[in-house]
Formats: sequence, C-alpha cells, structure tokens
Amino acid sequence: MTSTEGGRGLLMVSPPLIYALALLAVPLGAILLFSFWTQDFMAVDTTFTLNNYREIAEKPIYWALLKRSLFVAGCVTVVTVILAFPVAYFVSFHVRADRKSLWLFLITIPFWTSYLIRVFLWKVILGYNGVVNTGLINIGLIEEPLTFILYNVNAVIITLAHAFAPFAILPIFVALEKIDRSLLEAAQDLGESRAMTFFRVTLPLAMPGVVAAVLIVFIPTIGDYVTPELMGGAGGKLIANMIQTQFLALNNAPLGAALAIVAMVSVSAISLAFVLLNRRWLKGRS
Amino acid sequence: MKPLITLEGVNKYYGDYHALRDIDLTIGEGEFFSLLGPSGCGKTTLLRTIAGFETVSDGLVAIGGKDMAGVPANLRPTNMVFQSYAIFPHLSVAENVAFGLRKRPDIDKRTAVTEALSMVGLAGYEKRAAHALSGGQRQRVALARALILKPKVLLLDEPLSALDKKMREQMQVELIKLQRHVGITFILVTHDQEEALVMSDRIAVMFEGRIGQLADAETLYRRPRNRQVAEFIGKMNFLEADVQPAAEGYDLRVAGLGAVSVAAAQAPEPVHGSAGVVGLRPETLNLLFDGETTKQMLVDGQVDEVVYYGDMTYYDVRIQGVEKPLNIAMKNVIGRPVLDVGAPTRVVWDPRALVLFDRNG
Repeated sequence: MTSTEGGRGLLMVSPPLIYALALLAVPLGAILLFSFWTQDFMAVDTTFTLNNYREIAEKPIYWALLKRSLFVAGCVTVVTVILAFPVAYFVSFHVRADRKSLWLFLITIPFWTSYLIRVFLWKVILGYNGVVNTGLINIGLIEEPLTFILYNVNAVIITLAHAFAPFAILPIFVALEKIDRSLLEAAQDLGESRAMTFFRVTLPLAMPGVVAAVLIVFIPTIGDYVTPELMGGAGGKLIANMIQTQFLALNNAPLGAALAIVAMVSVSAISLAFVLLNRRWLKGRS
Repeated sequence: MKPLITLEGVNKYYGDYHALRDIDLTIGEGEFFSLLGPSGCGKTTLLRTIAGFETVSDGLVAIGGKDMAGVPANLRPTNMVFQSYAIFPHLSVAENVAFGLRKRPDIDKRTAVTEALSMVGLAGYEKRAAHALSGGQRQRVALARALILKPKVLLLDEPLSALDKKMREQMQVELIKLQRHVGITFILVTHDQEEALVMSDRIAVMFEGRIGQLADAETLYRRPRNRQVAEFIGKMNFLEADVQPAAEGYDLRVAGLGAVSVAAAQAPEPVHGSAGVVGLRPETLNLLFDGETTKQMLVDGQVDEVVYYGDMTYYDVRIQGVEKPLNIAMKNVIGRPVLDVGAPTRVVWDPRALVLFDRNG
C-alpha cells in the first residue's frame, strides 16, 4: 500500500491526522453527544432529548451571557484591530526594510510571559490601589479611585485587547507588506492626496489582513475563560465561565455541553457571515 | 517647437551619491522624447523628478512655464505609465481607468472610459478584473488610465521592458501612432537603444547622471559625440588614427586602413592634438565577393567568425595592423555565399563613413 503515491501521502499525514481525530474530532463529538443527554443527579441519562437546548432558550441568564460574550468579543476585536492597524502600518511603511524583523520581534516581547501573569499584571495596573488610580490621584486628576476599570466588562475588554494585539498586528502587517508601492505612487500620480490614496488603495488592499485579524481575535475571545474569571468580577462573567460552572461546580455536564455547542454555533455563524460580507474585498486576490 | 518642460541645472543627491548632474533640458510641446541610458544612469530618477516623486537637490524644473518646486505629484500636469504598470488589483478595468476622474465631475465617466479603452484597443474590457489581464493588456489599461486625464505630459518608465519581443515591436508602433493621435508630449525612459531610435523625435543619452548627447535618432547614430555614445547606440568598430589638421578637415593615418582625408563635419567634436580614433558602423563596411568590383577603398582580411542571422550575416574580419577584428554586417542577397571561418576576403570601406573622435575624449 505504501508503494502508491496516495498510500505514501496517507502514511505521511497519518500522525497529525490521528492526533487531530483523537484530540479534536472525538472530544467535539463527545460534547455534541453529551448535549443531547441529561444529568440525573449523579448519573447521566443517555436518552436523546433537546431539554438542554430548551432550557438554554427559556432561561434568560444564558441568553444574557451569550449576548455579553458576543458584545465583549466584538468590542475586543474592534479595539484590537483599530489599535493594531497603525502599528502594522508604521512597521510596514516607515521602518527601514532591514529593521522590520527586529520591530516585529520587539512587538512580541511582552508576550513571552505567561498569559496568566499578564492578566494578573493588568489587575495591578487597573486595581483600586493600582497603577492607574494612584497615578491619576497623585497628579490630581481624580480624587476618588476609578472603579469602572476593574471587575467588570471594561477590564475584560482592556485585558483581552492587549493579549490579542500581536495576533492582529501580524496579519495586517503581512497584507500591507504585499502592497506594491508603485500602486500608491500611481494613485498620487492620478491626482489623489496621501489621505485619499490610503482610503482608495492601501485600506482596500489591506482588507484581507484586517479580515484575518478580525477572525483571529474574535473567535478565541468569545470562549475566553481566564480573563473574565479574574478580571470580570460578578458583572463581567462570560459564557465560558458558565460552561465551567455547569461542568465542575453544578455537575451538569450535558447542559454545559449544550452551552458550548450554542456558543460554537454562534461564533461560526457570525464569522461565516463576516467572511461572506467581505467576499467583495477578498475576491480575486492571492 | 514650443517649450513645455524646462530643466535648468538640475542636481540630485542621495546622500553622497550624485544621481543627476547639472541637467539642462528643454522638451517641446507634442514631442516624443526619450531618455536613454544603461541602468543606473539616472534616467528613471530624471523622469520621477519631472513626475514629482523625487525632489531636486538643486536646480529648476518647470512645466508649462510654472516652477514645479513644492508641487506634489498629484497636482502636476503629468501622468505616468509605471514599469510594473501599477494596475490596482482590487478594481476592474473600468474602475482602474476612471480612477483619476474622481475630482473631475465635468467629465462623463462612462463615455470617457469607453473612449479611452477603445483608443488603446481594449474596447469592451470594462468589466474585466484587473488580475485577469495579460502583460500587454495591463500596459494598455495603464495607458488609458493616464491618457483619460488629458495630461500635458505622459511619462513612460520602461513601459515595454516586460513584454516579449513581438509584443514590444507591436506596442512601439502603437505608441507612436497614439502619440501622434493625442498630440501630447511623451517622455520615454528606456535602456533599449533600438526602441529609442524607432520611437523618438529626440533622444537624450545619459551616462552616470549626465546627458552625454542630446540629438535626433539619425544624428545620434551617424554622428555620436564620443565613443561612449557610439558604443551604447548600436555597434561600432574603432581604429586608432594619427590626426593632422588640414584646410577642410583632417588628414588621418588610420591603423589597418592607411592614409585618408575626412571633412571637418565627420568629427562631431573638434579633435585637438594628434591622437584620434575613427569609428565605422558594421553596415558601412562591405566584403568584396568573387566577381564583384568596386571603385572604393579595399583592404585585405581574413574571416575570423561568422554569425548567420537569416536576413543578415555578421562577420568578424581580421585585417593587418589591427588587433581587434572588424565587425561587418552583410545583407544576404541572392548569389552571395556565406563565407567560412578562415577564408581570405577583401573589405570595402568608404572614408565618408568614418567618424572621428579624440582618443582622450
């Protein structure tokens, strides 16, 4: 069998294929299966039912959490991409060619520390007696510490936007690098100012990178668990925290599984809709 | 010829590198002008200076009598066809061509685009995506996109270098016709001497940031000012010569050819001193085949190399007293054999074809 080209190819892809099947497809299938079962005190009742989904649809808490997750992920995505674009633009257009890798390297340095440690650092920065508050009090801008920056949705957004910055900078940078610089000169030659050249040429051609950045930031933030757990307080919890609560604290794995499926389907639907809307920008590029 | 573009004492430095040196140039209205030179000679820099993509370090650039200092590219009455064509990949052909019309509400876009596209032979291509075009089509779109704005000057940066030979020759003819049709000034940058000779009214040959010679095609070819220009434009055989000034020109003693007198006009620059070099184009020399006679000068030689081109045969012929063989181009007419390497032959030459240079010039 290994003598044929197809056989050899199969042999070569089989380790990652087995890995993917065992650690991605199987758990996913298990989650899907679980979501149609029910928890009967200590045992799991394996008769097929849509009760979990019915409960999610009927109880407002789940819908509220899902809405908040989508809102937070949307905010994080918008903030991250808007802040990442100028950074990517600067490195691509204003940094000398031989220094670009150094700049990208420097951008990744803060991300050498663990995600968890960075989240805790944001606690130190945003806390009641944190860097921001003591700083602002000392220079006399405020008298009372600001309370809207920790243990709520804002804190979650700030922390996640920082955590995902390089994931947004890199694809946008790559898209900007691919733009033929003579196109910008051509636009100017045809009468456009620098600003209009940006909106008519640079931005449309950078859209594939922006789309990639949006997806890369949006998809994982919806399911983020650590940041809302540590930074969100009572009002900043997201869907992932509820899934964790169902699985571990309330011992209701089937309901947790159903919640996970609902979250996954929502992310997929929104991402797909976004990609389809951007077809216009992506078509015909390579 | 009414002057349209004037450059006076233009210098350009990139750090220590002196890219343009004291360029003085006047280009007329409706002229097809070429900047010709080897790569790195500054021809593209000069074009970009006129377009407004480069600022001059020193000197004056004026278009239509207006000083262009501080005027950015988007406000100059010039449009450019880029070497890479710079077709916007996210736009259709029609959107590309209409790109510059945003600020011209007086022009009806649809009609203007249709006209511009049919002018360059792309009628009906409006909806085509930019990435689905061939090299030649991209170039036509770039032309239409520039010409639709009716600039005073169209700048072309090596527009034909990316095309194959057939396409290039076709586009040369089309560009000449197009220029006559629209009547605006074309400035072409090229490293291809043939292209420059075929297309231009006047040519500036550039070396190392300087204009080596500025003349029409025939003058450049027949009376190049110095050996550098002569070598860059076509082929030329060089023979050392002793020079004696005479009443109506020069008396020469040419290595391998002997004593001869030439008119003063055959030395494009006056020769001082006795050290000279004469140049002979390969097609001004002939081989005398068996049975042929001539009243012109003859010299014995031996065939050193034969290159058969179909319509032409190129011979390298050694003559006594000259180290380098003479390059001779012969038309392959009926009854004329192709000689073998090593065959003895006689070279026919005409003193009127000589061009005299100063050996130190």
